[in-house]
Amino acid sequence: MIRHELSKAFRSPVLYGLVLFFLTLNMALIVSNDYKKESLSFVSHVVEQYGPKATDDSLLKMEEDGLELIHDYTDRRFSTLEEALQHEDSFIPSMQQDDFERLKQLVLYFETGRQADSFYKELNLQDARSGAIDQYGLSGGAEDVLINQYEKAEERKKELVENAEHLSFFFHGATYEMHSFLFKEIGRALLFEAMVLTVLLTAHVTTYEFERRTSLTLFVTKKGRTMMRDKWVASTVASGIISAFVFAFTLGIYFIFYDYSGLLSSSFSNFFMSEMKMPYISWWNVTFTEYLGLFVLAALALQIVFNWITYALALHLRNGHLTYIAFAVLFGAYLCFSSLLPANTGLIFAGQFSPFIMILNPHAWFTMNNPMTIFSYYEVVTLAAWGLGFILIGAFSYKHFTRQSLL
Amino acid sequence: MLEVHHVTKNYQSFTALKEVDLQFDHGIYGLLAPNGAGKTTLMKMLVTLTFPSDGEITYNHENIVDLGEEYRDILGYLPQDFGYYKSYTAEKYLMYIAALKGLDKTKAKLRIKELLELVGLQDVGRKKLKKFSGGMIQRVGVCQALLNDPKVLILDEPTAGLDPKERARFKRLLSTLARDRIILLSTHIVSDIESIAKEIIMIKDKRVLYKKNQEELRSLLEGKLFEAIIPFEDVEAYHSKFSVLSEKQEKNGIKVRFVSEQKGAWNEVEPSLEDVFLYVYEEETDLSEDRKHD
Ligand SMILES: Nc1ncnc2c1ncn2[C@@H]1O[C@H](COP(=O)(O)OP(=O)(O)OP(=O)(O)O)[C@@H](O)[C@H]1O
Ligand SMILES: [Mg+2]
Repeated sequence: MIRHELSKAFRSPVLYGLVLFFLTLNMALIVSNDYKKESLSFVSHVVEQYGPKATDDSLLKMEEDGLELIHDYTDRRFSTLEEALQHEDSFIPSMQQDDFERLKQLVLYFETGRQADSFYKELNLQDARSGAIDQYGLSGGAEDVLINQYEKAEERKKELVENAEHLSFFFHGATYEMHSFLFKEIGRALLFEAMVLTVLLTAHVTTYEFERRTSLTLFVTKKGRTMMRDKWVASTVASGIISAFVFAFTLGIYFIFYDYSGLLSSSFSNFFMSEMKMPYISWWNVTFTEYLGLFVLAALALQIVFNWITYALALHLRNGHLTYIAFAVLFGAYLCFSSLLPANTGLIFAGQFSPFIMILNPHAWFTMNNPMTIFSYYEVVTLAAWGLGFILIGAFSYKHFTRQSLL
Repeated sequence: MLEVHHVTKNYQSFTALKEVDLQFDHGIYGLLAPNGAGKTTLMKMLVTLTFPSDGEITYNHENIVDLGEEYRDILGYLPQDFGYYKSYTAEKYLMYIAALKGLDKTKAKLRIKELLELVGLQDVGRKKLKKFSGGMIQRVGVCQALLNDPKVLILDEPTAGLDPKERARFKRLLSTLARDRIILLSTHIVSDIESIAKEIIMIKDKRVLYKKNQEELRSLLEGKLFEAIIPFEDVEAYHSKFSVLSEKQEKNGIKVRFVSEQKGAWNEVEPSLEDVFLYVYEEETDLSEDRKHD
């Protein structure tokens, strides 16, 4: 009978229209960074030529190659790239365009690579902490929590340097902002799209009989109100399928469009990727691919939580439109509520453990880059707690529904 | 045996039914009452769509809510407002409901064919429901109620929208079905249940006023029902003195049919079920007239 409910889920023309619309939107979003594409691919050559990490050896080779390139255009002989660049007028004007581009890129990755070690040595997380404390006006218990968390962050920073995670080559973050592009722009778009689809679909399935006035006939059959249990399972499966499809399609196109070859096994917490002062640091030593996998898993789990929230709402409201509105109100109300939590106790952090907050900062998932969610287990706890909570609420709502008058 | 024990039903502060006691055994029961009397409310409680505010309903001495699936399994229900999926064919919709009723596919197919024939829809089983007329939809509704060969069949105004021919067919169908099951149907059309109902239930002022067979009901007016042809200007006077059930234009005046406690120089006539219905709910009509005025 779950099959019947599943078929109801996929019988909504609005759903297909929306999926199509979202996919088109995502493609436009992907293509919007087209102009970066050409120079972006240089890092793949770097990995191919010099290995996956900016070790002293590979930096040395890069420097040699750079100098060789320069020496083609000048009679002067430099011993370091740094020296050569101080005299760039002697060769740049005569350089061919593509050699110039190559040199520029090489220097970019070379210099970044060379700075990596000292940058992490000097990186002071205490600055980040006091910045956050000022920015969010934290005090008392909240301050203690952050002090504690930044100590853990400090540990992790030491560990990643020991593992040389920071030396993995990646698209130059300050130049291309590919992390933000993939996980913030596209990632957040994907999450919101999947959320809209999940809420629509779940409300559609759950209120199907009420919206079509067949409830009086169908809830009196032997299957009767237990149909709602099938709907729960069916809408969860359908939300998962639809979300997975939108993710897979969009990410598929993305990775066809942007060449990540050579970077897939780069450590996530590398220095090259950093876009601002604070480089991205994940709580665990994961490669880019592993991070992406974690991200997709968390994104799907998030949809399941949204599905369960919607299910509970729809069971009480028995009306599709009211359910959408209620979901939106709940979302907004939660954001208000969390911003009202007192900033002088740990409570303000507890308020962050919510799917409604989580969906806003996807680019910081599994990292220590958002001070308000700087907990290694933030994503897991949020998903587990709300998931469990809404399993209970869903079960309670179902029980309640079986005793309701259906008029 | 289906029993309603002292059931009261409130909608918020409004009481729709009060202290209703009823027993149903095999046979057809007609629920005859005017609009808003609480027929649908009673039926919705009998099919567990809603629950008594007080009292309980039992089937074979067990509460129907506790029986749950076991009870729904022997239940057939046609709601007053029968909802359907427009893009489904009659067969597909019936197959779906059959699945919800736990019938297996092959059995359901045979049963649906049989039922569609029974209600005269065998030729349109493959047509989409959105192309059906109101009366045809109503007959699909009757089919779905009968799918699981229910022991308890509850039909809320099943004849609404049926033409006289279909009405007659339906009446025949009911009498053949009544042998080994409980059938409760509501209507305000007396002829629908006349001659086939084993008992007729009348609800008035939120309570069960009568639950009697037709003979007993008619005997309520035995010797009190008269007809007379009177001049037009006397009609007003008759209305104020007696309960006038009907009047009819004749060539030499107006023929009035009325109830009087005393005999007079009038023609005594055999009361019909319709007369009883009109007489019982006469005040109610007056009441609603009053309401219109204020
Ligand atoms: N959901 C409800 N909420 C509040 N009052 C209701 C509700 N349903 C019915 N009522 C009231 O209960 C009374 C009985 O309604 P019910 O629908 O049972 O009447 P009925 O006998 O089926 O009438 P009809 O012949 O028009 O179908 C009416 O006064 C109605 O206004
Ligand atoms: Mg009714």
